[in-house]
Amino acid sequence: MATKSFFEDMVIDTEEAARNLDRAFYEADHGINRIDTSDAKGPITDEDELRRILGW
Amino acid sequence: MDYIIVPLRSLIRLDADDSLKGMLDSYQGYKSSDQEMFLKEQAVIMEKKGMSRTYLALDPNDAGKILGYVSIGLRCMSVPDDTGVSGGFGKKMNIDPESKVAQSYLIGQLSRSTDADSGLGRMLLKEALGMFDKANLIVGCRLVRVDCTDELIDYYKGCGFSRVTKNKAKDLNQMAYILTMDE
Repeated sequence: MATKSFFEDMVIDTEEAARNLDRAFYEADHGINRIDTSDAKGPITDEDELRRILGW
Repeated sequence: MDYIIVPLRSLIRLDADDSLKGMLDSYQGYKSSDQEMFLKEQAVIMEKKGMSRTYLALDPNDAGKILGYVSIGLRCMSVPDDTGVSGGFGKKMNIDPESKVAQSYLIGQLSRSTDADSGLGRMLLKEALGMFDKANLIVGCRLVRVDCTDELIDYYKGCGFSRVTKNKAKDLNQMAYILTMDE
């Protein structure tokens, strides 16, 4: 993970890369190796609440 | 570890530049200087340009303290003609038949502070994927990409990502997580 990722695209230019991505789709569509995001909190966006929390 | 998630853009809108700068400057990232530098020097600039969105995990008992952060954005994925990609695969990816380009969500930075528990990284990943799930429902796109060094491949595999390929410089692995279709 690096800042330069923001400036680089992913290029699928080999059969191996295409196979890997195809397998990732297959696994997702068959419920394999999923991460449960139900306990994600989500962002606080209310500005008044943020001012109160931060004391700004 | 308890935390609250706050969008950086919301803090920018509070118009308290000195307080925000002090908060960002005090961040001490675990291991990676690149991630610490990004938060201190580039996150606000890229936020204002609309190039990325950064979400801070703050300590609920000391809200001025950043426990970690995740920065997300959008990038393209291109698939040249000679790759051997099947037509069905191209449709699943929404690859444009003329430009050979599809879209992907990107987790560009993920970092926890020296004071945060190791589990915070996984929670920040969940926060990002939860936001991508919502974006997928609104505008589509199932592919989430994260780039990592060799030693982090197994970590991201444990979080549901698959290794796809190397980046152009061959120093990072490009990993993919595919969002579930809304049935």
